[in-house]
Order: sequence, then structure tokens, then C-alpha cells
Amino acid sequence: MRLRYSPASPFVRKVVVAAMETGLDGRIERIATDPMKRKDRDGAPNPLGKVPSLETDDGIEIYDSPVIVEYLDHVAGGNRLIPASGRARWDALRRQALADGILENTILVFIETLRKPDRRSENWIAHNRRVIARAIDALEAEAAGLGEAADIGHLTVAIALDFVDQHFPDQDWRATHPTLARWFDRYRTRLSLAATRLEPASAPG
Amino acid sequence: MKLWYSPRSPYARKCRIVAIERGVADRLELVTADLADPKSAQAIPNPLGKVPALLLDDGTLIIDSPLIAEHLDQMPGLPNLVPMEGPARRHATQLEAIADGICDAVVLANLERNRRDGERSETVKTQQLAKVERGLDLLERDAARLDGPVTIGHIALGCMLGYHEFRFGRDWRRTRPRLAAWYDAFARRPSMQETMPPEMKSA
Repeated sequence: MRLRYSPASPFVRKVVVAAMETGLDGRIERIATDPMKRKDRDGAPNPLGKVPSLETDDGIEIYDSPVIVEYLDHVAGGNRLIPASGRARWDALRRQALADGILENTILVFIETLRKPDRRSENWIAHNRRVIARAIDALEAEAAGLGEAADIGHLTVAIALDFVDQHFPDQDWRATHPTLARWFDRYRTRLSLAATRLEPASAPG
Repeated sequence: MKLWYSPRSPYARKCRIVAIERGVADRLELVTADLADPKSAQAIPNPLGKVPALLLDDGTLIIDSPLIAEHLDQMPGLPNLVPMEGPARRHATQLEAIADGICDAVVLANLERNRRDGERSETVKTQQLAKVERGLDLLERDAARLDGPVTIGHIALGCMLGYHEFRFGRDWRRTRPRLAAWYDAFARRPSMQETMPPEMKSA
């Protein structure tokens, strides 16, 4: 398998973490891709120019990250990252969707801050930061139910909180979300997470 | 079971179509959300403030649209639209992901166009629309793969094309005859007609 890879993308990180958790990491060749660079975007198999994108051994190109995660889960025999059925399945997938939302909104803020100050919308930044704050509130409300499971819900929530810390070091969410903070500080020491810390994103090219 | 939607949201439309196609629409209580009204937006149970959001009778929240579609598909009803296994699933979910991804770019391009003077960037709008063009080109090239039973992928595609045409007009059809022919046939489905916002009909 070949993975279009960027060391700055949290969605790529999710796929790499998923591969490590299922023992598939050694079967995936990484192809460095910078989605901020036009040349890499135009050459990408994903017409949207996004990473991650995974080419399977059958030569099929799959994306975006939830589809890739499901594929890796399938290759690993199933029921590893995504519980096969019932409440556990919906919890894992819902948490992934919520955490993906945090990531998307954080990226929207990041992209907005790259604009020239006079073209920047402070309202848009504030709107997205409010969405992120509400999502973290929702995670705190269910944090007592988070444990040690290595399903895609837990893993993506940890990746999202790391990304928030990286991009908004001023946002002291831990003080107001103590249960989530305790869970996160323990969970983020997992090998797959500790081994995949992100590099800062580059400016667009 | 309650489904929060806004009439123009292509992602919510996808879920409403699944419910109609499977004959379970009468079990859904539809709640209209006005995303431009902060009060109405805050009442959506999705912490991300987005539609669609599905709240089950036992209080379980389901987000986002691919998961809601899958949930509605698992209710007893007419033939399924979300294959759960094998190549059929990968084909359907991949098509859904491409259609939704293009739709995301259409939404961002439209938001950019609607920014106030000074904060608007032609470059950003152009970049997003370039993604849309590349995505539509890929779909045109692979249009033969749209044959076969209707899945969630087709529904996502139909909703995306309808929304894109509503926002950016009919130009996309000129270089994509096969995709346009597919869309025109698909858009005649009663579920597509029933979920089409009135302003989209006159567009």
C-alpha cells in the first residue's frame, strides 16, 4: 500500500496511527506530499488535492481518512478500529466525526490567519473557534466514558486535542475540562500517538 | 427520532433521500434549522452546529451525514442503499466521499463569494472552484461506473450536483455530457423531486 503523506496533516496522522494500531504500518510505503504546494496538489490522485490518500495493493486509490481507516480495519480482519455493530460502533464513529470537525475548524482558522490582515475575517475566526470550544465542551460531558480502547473514536479525539494544543496554545481548555484533560494526558502516551507528533504546517506554496 | 436539517443543505438532503427511498421517512420528525439565525443554530444537538443531526428516541446522537445515512439504512425497510461489506461498500463510500468532498469545496467557494468587500479573496474562491472542476472531471471520466443499483454514493452525487448547479449555474455541463445526462435522469426520482428546495427549481 502507498500513502500520500504529509507530516503536518492531522488526518494523515490519523491514518498512520490506525495503521500502527492494526500492525499494518510496515506494509505502507509513504510518499511525501505537501498539500500546500501547487505541484503536489495537481499531481495528487485525489482530485481535491488532499492528503491522506491511500493506494491499495490492487491499485485502487481511496480517500478521505474515514474511508481509509475503514479499509485498514477491513484489511486487519475487521472489528479492530471500528467496532462491528451496536452502541460501540456508533460511539466510535460519532467521536471520529466530532473530532474530525474540530480538526476541520482548526484548519479553517489556520488558513484564515495566513491571509493578509486586511483580507482576514475576525468573525470567521471567532465563529470557528466557538465551534471548537463547543465540541470540546461536548467531549468533557462524555469524558467519564472514555477509556483505554484503541478505537477510531478515542484515537481521533486525542489527535484533535493535540492539534488544538498545537494551534491554540493560548486556549487553556484543561482548566475548564478536567475530566477530559485527565483522560487525554494519560491516553496520549500511547505508543502510536507518541510516535506520530506533527510537524508545524508550512505556508502555502 | 428527530432529524435536524436545513432545506438547502445537500448533506441533509442526502439523509432525507435515504429515508424516502427506504420507506422510513414517516418515522422521522423533521426539524428545520435556520443556520443564519444563531438561536436556531444553537438548538441543533450537534456540537459542531451543523446539519444534518439525528437524535434517536433513546437520546443517542448521530452525526455526520454518512453515519446518519448508514443508520437510516439499517432500519427495517426497502432494499438497502449502503452496502456493508466488500468491494460494493468501498465503491459506494468512495463515491460518497468524493461527492461530499467536492460539495465541501462548493460550500467554501460560496462562503468566499458572500464575504463582505475587503475580506473577499478571488484567489481563495478560484482555488476551491478548481478543486470542484477537477473532481467533476474525474466523475465524468468514470461516469460508466455510475451504472448499477443506486447506492449512497449516487445519492451524494445527485445532491452535490444539484447544489453546485444552484450556486454556480449550468456551465459545468458543457464539458461533462455523460455526468449531466446521468444527473438529469437521477434528478427525476421522486425522492430527489420531493427534497428539492423551491428556489433550486427555479434556478
